Amino acid sequence: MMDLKNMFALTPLSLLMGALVLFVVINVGIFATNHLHGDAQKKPFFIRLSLITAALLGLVSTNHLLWFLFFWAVTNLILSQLIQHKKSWPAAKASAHAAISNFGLGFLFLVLSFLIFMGDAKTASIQNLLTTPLTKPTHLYGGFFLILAALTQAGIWPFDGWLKSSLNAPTVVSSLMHAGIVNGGGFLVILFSPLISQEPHLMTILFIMGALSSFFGTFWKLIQTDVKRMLAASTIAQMGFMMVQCGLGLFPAALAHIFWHGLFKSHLFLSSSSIAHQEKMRLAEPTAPHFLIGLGIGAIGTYCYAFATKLDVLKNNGTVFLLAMVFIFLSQLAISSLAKINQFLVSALLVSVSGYFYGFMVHIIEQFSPLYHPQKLTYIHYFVLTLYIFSWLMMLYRTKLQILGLSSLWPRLYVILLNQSQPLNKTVTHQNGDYSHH
Amino acid sequence: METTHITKHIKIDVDTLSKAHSRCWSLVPPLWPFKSMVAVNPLMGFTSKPFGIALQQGHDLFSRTSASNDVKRLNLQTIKWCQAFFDEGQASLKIPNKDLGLYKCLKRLFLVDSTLHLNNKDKVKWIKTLPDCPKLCIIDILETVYQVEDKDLDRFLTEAVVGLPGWAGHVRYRSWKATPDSNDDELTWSFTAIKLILAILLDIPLGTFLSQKKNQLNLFESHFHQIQLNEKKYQNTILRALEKAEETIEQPPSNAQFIFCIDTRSEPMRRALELNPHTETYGMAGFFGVPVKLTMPSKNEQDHCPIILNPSLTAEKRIKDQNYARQKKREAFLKTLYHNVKYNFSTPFSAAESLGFLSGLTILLKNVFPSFSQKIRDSIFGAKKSLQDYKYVLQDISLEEKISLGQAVLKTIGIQRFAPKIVFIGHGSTTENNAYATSLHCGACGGNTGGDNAHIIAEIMNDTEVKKGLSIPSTTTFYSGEYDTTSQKIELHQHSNSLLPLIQDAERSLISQKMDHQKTSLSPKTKSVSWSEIRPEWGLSKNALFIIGNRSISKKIDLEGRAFLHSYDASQDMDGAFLEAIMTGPLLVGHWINAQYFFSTLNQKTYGGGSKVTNNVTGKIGIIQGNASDLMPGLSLQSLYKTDKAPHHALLRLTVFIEAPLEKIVDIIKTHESLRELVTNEWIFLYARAMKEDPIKKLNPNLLWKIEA
Repeated sequence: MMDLKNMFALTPLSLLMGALVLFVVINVGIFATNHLHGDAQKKPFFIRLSLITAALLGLVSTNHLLWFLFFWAVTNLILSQLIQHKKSWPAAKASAHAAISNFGLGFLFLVLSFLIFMGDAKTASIQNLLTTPLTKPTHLYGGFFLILAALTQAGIWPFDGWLKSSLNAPTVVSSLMHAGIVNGGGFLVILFSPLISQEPHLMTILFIMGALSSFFGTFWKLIQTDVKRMLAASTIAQMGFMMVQCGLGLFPAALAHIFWHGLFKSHLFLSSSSIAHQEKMRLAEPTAPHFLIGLGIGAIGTYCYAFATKLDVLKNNGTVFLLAMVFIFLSQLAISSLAKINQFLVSALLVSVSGYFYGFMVHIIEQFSPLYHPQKLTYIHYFVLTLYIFSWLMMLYRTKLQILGLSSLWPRLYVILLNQSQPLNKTVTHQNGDYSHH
Repeated sequence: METTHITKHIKIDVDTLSKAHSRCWSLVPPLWPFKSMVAVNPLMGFTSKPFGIALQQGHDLFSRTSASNDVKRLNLQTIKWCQAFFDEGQASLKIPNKDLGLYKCLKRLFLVDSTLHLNNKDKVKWIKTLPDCPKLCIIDILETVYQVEDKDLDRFLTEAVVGLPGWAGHVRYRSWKATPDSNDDELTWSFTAIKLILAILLDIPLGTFLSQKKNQLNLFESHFHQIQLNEKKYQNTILRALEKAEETIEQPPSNAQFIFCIDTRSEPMRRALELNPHTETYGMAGFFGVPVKLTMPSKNEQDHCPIILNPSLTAEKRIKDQNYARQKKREAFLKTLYHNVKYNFSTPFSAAESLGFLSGLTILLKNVFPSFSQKIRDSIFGAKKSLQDYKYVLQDISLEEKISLGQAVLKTIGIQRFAPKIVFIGHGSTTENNAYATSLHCGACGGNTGGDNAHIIAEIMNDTEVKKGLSIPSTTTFYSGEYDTTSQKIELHQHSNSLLPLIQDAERSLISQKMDHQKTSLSPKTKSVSWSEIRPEWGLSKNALFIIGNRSISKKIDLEGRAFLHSYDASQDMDGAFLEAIMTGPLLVGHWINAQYFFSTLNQKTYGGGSKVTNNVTGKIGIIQGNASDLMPGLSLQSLYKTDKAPHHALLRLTVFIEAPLEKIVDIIKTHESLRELVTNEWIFLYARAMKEDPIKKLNPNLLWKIEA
């Protein structure tokens, strides 16, 4: 067994994740002191919040595989208790149950993975494991189960049921969960990225699973009619995209995504009650000149982004994929701003500054990542990228689609998506008598 | 499918069906959406029954506790489709064919929903054969599939409709908006038809709808007894106080008269203002007799009047400040950018990454410096404007109309002497991150803020011709303002050096009283901007009393913010027309509010909104709990309870006290069925006396007056 000195390893990654955990926990805690005022479960909530904080800090800083397993399990156990909160509400109990079943499965995958790695490397130290040369089957099978564990934790399809069904949890718990705990999946992949990135097949699996989730999640999100399930669907999509970034070997970018998306989603959950009185601004179909000029401005903005992140633009690897996504985003910003104010220079300036600021924020976080291992792009990557671009265009020009006669397919698709995005049966409060606030 | 085994020949008579259908929908209380939350009595369909019986029957009908799996399957699908169809702007991609209406839209989608028909060819074919008219569809189902006999028709329809009372309530609200006087419109029929189609597709047997619910009788007996004791106790205290209170007949000439809304929250503020001996206050329904449709640039129209009225006036509200228009434009610009990258394909990923830092900063500021974060937001998007920046353009109305509006106000509240300054004070609330925000606004203004109505009536009354017509001295000036019930501050539309100190003194004394009462760490001002605040204010919690009469009779009593106070002077209302207007308008609204608070407190599951801790906003219309549930019909736990278990609101039916000739009161009650029911069935308690010297008498359920021992 290792001595205490080696039990923890404070790497840049663990420091960053620790900071995120502390920031989210402290803010959720401040919010909850007011928000849970008078709630019978307030005290248990704060006890669990303290425990889960300790477990999370342990998880991100431990250097021992067994301790890692321990903290991983404890975090998820406490989380499922936090989800339940109201003890006599059967639907909440079912949500906690769905979560714990999923986490149990994930834990099993993780144990298998660690056993395989430990068996080959003959070490329980994470840092040692990462530098030990391992055989190909170890990489393949150990990495495979590791990825499965990560997918369960991040709510990636097909392990998304528990996440869609977790909204019986108090708002503060959802905020904590979406900002701090679903990220565990990404953290796991990034931490062990030196092992996974050795195997192109594993990277492809990550990429494909991530891409599927990002599409499903986005679709579900766009048709959702209640705010919390919409946010949950959005998280499924966002975690999917984070896995896509991992699959491309862009672990630093994935880390930035984890960090900034966490804060973004945490804020959205905490302020979810205000959505009742907010009007949604429509996405209008752009005119042809606005669209073309928008793409031009988007390109300028993307250059600013690349400049700020110090990315090499012209390489046939994952970074091109990433830049294409940034380009879509900035082009949309440009198109929307042109439609609203129709001033080329203002739009160009706004988008360039946004691009630079965005790149700058991503770049700061990227410094904390252990590995940058961009994959060579294959036809699968290009195919998915095309789908991203295509689906964006489809959304922009959706009124035109009706003319093309695709409108008859839409009801069919809508119902399929609606059914897919329903929470698990038992986690729904079927009748008012089944609700309980105790 | 049961279609194949027709054993009986059932013929449904359209008329019988219509009547039964209408009866069953009349039991469903309309549930107003967030944009204008209005209180209704959740048992409004039961007021023809004695209160105790209604309590039990309401519980039997609305408290849904079936253990049957069939019910759960049916509700699961109903919730899914209701959420999808009744959405008002949450979904970016809305349900296809929504404009065809509920029935046709869902009928088409059912065709492709394999979780419903499980790809059973007969079922798919059956959906295709359904008629396009929901009423015919229901008849078809009743005759061929369920074969419901006439005697079971009521129970069957009621069970089918009320299985999810909240969603049914939302349907009833929409049909109420369309046809206020009947519930026989397309939408109610559509909803019933949809429920029946779902039931058939899910193979729900007839028995599920006809099984007698065995609820514990006597559930409320001991509870009800306790409520009655509490009511008696409260009434004794109040009546004794009213009898004892010395009336100050000789009042010093007043410098200012304030006219407030009857809302219970006005009472402490009025008392605080009256600490100044030269200030008088009055109370009337907070739309001040001007039912107005308000239009604003780039906003939806709002009806600022009680829901039982239709606005007869229109006014345009504008903002004088040019800078503000620019800030709003900026806000709309930034919001459009944000929404366009957030509710889209492929762009939300970068949107989340690029906005993460700002989100984190916002969380920190809102948590630690709520007022400062509000300031930052104000500097970007424009602060909530001071009332003085608004300008109103009232549609042209004739002098006669203006005079009659003014006349109604003066006569209703019985003002005779006019102070140099008369101030109309509407009310509203300011809360942050609160789905229930509009439920804290003015109920008499349809869940909107009342300052606008105050401004309009003051402007009308300031017309020199109107003053002449109403013999108001030309030295009298009318002012208007709004009372913010969360921050407990009054703001005026006009600048006035003499009114300001009066108001500030009152605000200070009110806050210092409150601080003594309860040890709250946050000031009301902070509560109104804090995004984590779960009890920004208590609203009309604890309401229990409605007084119709001169202020002088209650001025000396501390009513603890529990009383609706409507000013009325019988000596100026010889034919009782104004009393009749008060009793059929404000009093009825007061009863609805009282009943909403009563039932939400009595049973959170059935009539309330549940805990805000786990609530979820659906379709921008209402609250569901957690993942999905019935639409929650009432006030949240935190609006009524101090903790999960300790109520703040007291379970008391409304006690009404009127100072007016007794025979007039009885006449009015006898003429109006809705009022008569409330008294004879003890939904309200009515006490009265003709004048101060008389003993207070109670109007018994048999409509005879009796002196209470």
